[in-house]
Amino acid sequence: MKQVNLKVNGIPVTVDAGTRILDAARKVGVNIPTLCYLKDVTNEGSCRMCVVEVAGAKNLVTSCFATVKEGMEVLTNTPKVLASRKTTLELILSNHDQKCLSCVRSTNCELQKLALEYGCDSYKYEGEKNHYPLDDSNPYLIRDNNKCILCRRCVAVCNKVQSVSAIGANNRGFKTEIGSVFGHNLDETGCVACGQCIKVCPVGALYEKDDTDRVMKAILDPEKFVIVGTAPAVRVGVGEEFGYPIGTDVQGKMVTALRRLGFDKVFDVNMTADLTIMEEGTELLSRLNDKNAKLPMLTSCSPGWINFIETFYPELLGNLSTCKSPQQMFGAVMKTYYAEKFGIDPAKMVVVTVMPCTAKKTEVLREHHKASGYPDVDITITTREFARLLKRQSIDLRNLEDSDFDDPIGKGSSAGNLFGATGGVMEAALRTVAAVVNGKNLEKLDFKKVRGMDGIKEASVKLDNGVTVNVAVAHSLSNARKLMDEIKAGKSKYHFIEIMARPGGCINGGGQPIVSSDVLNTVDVRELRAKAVYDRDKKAELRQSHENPIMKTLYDEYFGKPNSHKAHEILHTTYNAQHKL
Amino acid sequence: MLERLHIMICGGTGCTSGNSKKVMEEFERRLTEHGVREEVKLIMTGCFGLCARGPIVAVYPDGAFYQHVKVEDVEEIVSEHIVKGRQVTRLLGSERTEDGEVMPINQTPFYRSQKRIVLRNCGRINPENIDEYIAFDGYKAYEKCVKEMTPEQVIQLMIDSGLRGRGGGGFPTGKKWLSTYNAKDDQKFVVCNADEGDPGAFMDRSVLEGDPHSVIEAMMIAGYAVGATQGYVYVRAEYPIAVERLQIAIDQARAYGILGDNALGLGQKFDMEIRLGAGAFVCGEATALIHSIEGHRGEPTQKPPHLAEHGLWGKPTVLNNVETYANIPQIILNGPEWFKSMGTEKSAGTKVFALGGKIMNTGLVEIPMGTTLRTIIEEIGGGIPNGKKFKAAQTGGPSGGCIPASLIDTAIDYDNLIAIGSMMGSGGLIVMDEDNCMVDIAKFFLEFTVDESCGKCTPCRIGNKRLYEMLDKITQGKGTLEDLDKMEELCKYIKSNSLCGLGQTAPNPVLSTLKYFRDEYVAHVVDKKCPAGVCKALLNFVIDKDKCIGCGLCARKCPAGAIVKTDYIAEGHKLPSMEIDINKCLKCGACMDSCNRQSAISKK
Amino acid sequence: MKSSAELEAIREKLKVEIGYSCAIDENDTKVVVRMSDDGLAATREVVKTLMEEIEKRNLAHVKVTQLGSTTKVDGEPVVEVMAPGKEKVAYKNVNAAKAREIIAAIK
Repeated sequence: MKQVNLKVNGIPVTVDAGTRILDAARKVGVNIPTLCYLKDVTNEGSCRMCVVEVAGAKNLVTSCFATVKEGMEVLTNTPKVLASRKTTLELILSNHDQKCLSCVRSTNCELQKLALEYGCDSYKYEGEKNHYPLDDSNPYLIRDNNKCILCRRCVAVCNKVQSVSAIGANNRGFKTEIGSVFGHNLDETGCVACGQCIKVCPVGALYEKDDTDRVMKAILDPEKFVIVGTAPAVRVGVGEEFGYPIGTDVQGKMVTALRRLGFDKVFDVNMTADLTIMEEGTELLSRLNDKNAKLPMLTSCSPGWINFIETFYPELLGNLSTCKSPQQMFGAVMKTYYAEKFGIDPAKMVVVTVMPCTAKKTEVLREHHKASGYPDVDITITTREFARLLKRQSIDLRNLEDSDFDDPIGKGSSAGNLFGATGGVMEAALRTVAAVVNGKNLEKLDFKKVRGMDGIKEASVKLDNGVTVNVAVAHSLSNARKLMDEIKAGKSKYHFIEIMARPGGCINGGGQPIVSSDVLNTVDVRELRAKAVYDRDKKAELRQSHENPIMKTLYDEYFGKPNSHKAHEILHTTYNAQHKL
Repeated sequence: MLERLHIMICGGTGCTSGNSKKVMEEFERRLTEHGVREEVKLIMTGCFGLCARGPIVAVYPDGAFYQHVKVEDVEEIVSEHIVKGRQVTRLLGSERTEDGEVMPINQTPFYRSQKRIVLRNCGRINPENIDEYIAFDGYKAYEKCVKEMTPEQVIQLMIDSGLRGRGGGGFPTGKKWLSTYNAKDDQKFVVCNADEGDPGAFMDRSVLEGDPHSVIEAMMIAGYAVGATQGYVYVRAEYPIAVERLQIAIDQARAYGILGDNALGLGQKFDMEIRLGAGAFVCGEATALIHSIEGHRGEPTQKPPHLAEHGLWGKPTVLNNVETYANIPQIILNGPEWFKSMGTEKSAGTKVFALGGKIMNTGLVEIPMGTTLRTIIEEIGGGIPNGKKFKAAQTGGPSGGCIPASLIDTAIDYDNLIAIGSMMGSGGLIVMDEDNCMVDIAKFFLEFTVDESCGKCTPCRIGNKRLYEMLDKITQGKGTLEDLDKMEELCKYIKSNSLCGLGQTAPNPVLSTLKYFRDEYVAHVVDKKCPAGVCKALLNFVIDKDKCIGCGLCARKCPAGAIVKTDYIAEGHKLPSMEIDINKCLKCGACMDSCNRQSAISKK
Repeated sequence: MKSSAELEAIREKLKVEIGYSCAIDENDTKVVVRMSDDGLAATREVVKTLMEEIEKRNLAHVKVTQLGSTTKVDGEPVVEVMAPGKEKVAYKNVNAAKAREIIAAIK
């Protein structure tokens, strides 16, 4: 690769040709501020924060976009540049609804941070402000265009990374507004609720709907028996909201915190993740043995992915596993098996889940998820809401002692925990499927080929009965689309595919803590959180779903065997095409 | 049979609004009635340029250049001139030679300093007849290129000619073609920018409506030179006639095998399509235009990579303006030295200007680069009407700046205009007199830019809006001296930070009026007065109570009921004088217009 | 489908006609026919013949124009030929036959 030599603020630096000025500067410790730039997502250069002076250039240069040239002399902090950046911020502020005191992103807002750094006067350029109504037409997020700074990150992520294209820029000039086609509300569009847009928004223009009040209302209602279940990704995410480094596993403290909130039982959704493996693994085996069955089989635990396939590929619904997601199985098991066994009226049971996911808020509303006659899961809150709730209830996560999930059905294996990372479902499934077919546990439980952040990963597993199972793992919906197109064209060579809507899987879910772009641009947050997931697996004693004693309990006492009629009624579901714009 | 007279009826923008179509129908009728229809050819032709005196009807070869022709005049022209050979002098121009004869039109002040190269065919052909284009050396330049020159030689010729982009950027055309030629790819494109968004500009429109084949031929030449086989003309949707004419021309060229797989049997492939704009000025910006053709939101994106390497659908693309293309066939036929013999050292050739505003001869003119503004205003333009004083001329539309009267001897070319804080732009030239307020002019242009901003980048989207708000405040009498400095600072910020040319040049009208007419701004903010008498909020309409005879006509005309009787009867008058209630006054001026004693009501 | 040669043929065919869409310039031979209202009928015949001859001989740069007078013109229809660089030649009482000769004399 050709090397280029240049100077940034007089400091010489050598980088590969094609490197952007922004990255070259960072290499020598010069951090140029950005607002709209987000690595691998967008560098349109619309905010103008990253402008720098380049010797010989007529105007200021956009450092997130322009590439280095031999002998280039870059100055990043001249008075002209600093004055320009300040004016840019002041102009943005002049059209920004400054409700910082009550804004959910206050202290984690990129505009607020820069305004403070540059000493901005928010009233310098007073003038007309846009006044838009909020879009809270759907159950999972709210868009407030009065705070939007038109960085277009949300549009880029929805179009490029997720290939959903539910939002774009409408109108032009001062009246530009992010919205959907012909100004329709979000719930009328093909939005899959993946929440990627919320994660990339630098300010408080996009945020999840807050269901914490409902949770506290249930907890404080003496009539109600409130059970909470936690997703694998939450325990490696929530710590960040309390100052822990990215990727710290705080499971023990998390459980204690939940108990302190007042839940009657604190269970682990990893347990039903194991159950999902039992059901789905069995389903896979039966499809492999049935030459009329639809293959490849597709996982079904990511609701953003389910929304996607129902909207864009309804003709492939038959390939989906009929298993509910671990969350929904959790609620279903609680309100049937657990309620019956422990004599609790399911009408009085409230199942709450803490999820890294915004799409889960659509999943709980699905028609066919009422195994007990009541919704399987009543309320789902995101990791961020959970953190907010703890703070409001004065629960100091850092100073809690560790504790474990409740018995009798509270604990899951580390295979169940793998669900949080992309490739995790696949790995957990393969461990169990191989054990079932081979009649014995595998010697090596790690399937490194399905781990990691590559968009599409593939592997082949040879079973003892001579069958080779070809598997693929995809994350982010644009990669899912590629695989779906292959299936449609009849060219898919896989038997089993795991799809996660979010790049990186659940650990990067729409409900996870929002990381500022200056961190995102330098560090792969997903890798750090995923590492915590795999570390737990390495150290765990219980590493395979089928070895979880609770599985035996559930089947012996209630479901009979995987894919039984009762299992189908309670733990499985159907899908319908969604007709959206 | 060979007709002895050709009656050329102007079908240009202005004359069409003046009913030239009906004039043509009337000629059809009257010529037939007088039994001379077969001796005469009736042609609806392109813009003659003397729009102020339209509808124009030119009778050739006699050289009678009839002006202000109404339908009622046609009978006289036919019976007197066509039949009896007696030109109708009252409809000819008022210019006379030394001998007292009617001055031949090309010797009149309007035309004698012009050099019509881009507009050569406007006024002498029927644009819907490809044969006429061919007869006037049409497609000869293309043949010369393919038969006698290599692509490299064509490009070198373009470089040698010194032709610079006529859309406003002034980038050397040959250099652009060379970059595209050098880019390696399996497909390349030639695109024509016919979006012409500047308010008041109609140069490109006139070329497309009057001589569309010149653009087609030039694009084919470009295709041959850089190695492209597909072209697109991006025309603004507000030009339906231009679109229609261009489509007819394309269809005719295809029927003749000029566009297609084997042009004129010479082995080259080239075809082209029209793509319509959708009402966005910003789509005249190169990258935004490309994105619009691709079906995306018409927003500019950053360069590099330049269009020459990475343009339409990622392929190397030549993008030139209509006027640039219209020059090319002549340059090929006459050679680069011929082109360089006109104009200045760094700005060769001619430029078409749309002359508008406070000038006698509004219309379309084509002059060699280097012509002074004085020549344009006093000679070609015929001076300022109503005896008013020339104040400034705006070039470059919303992206340009004004040239004050003190610089009237500036020679118009790319670099001179930039040096004085303006720019060539696409060719709009608006003349202003003492009754124009320069603050109001700046506000007018900025209002346009704010409306047309794509909204992508902060400086333009919010900065220009705030700039406009400041200007508005000043015209409302609420500005301060600090505002002037704040505006200037904001202008400089917008110029250096905006992502595209629209934003970068939007502050130009403000900066240049601040530079040359600062005293007017100061009057607005310090004295709260508008010296030109334009900014309504700063005007008061006043009735001189001693001159008013109390007839009450003004009160009846007043739409706001703001005029009342006073108790005061002036000396020698019978009725009490009227008075204007400034709180109710709408500043419409209806009272002043209605006053029999004009001097009784004035504005201050 | 037209070939390059066919385009040239069009140019050749139209070269006289397009001259009549332009004003007379210094390269043209100007042929002025002068008459009063009384001589109109005769003039029409003459002009028609002049044009026919020009068309027949494919003479570009020969421009015929009528100049009407309110008073009688001596010898009307009078035809004046002004060729570039040559003296003006006037012909009186021109008829169709003479018209043909006049055009024939122009080379």
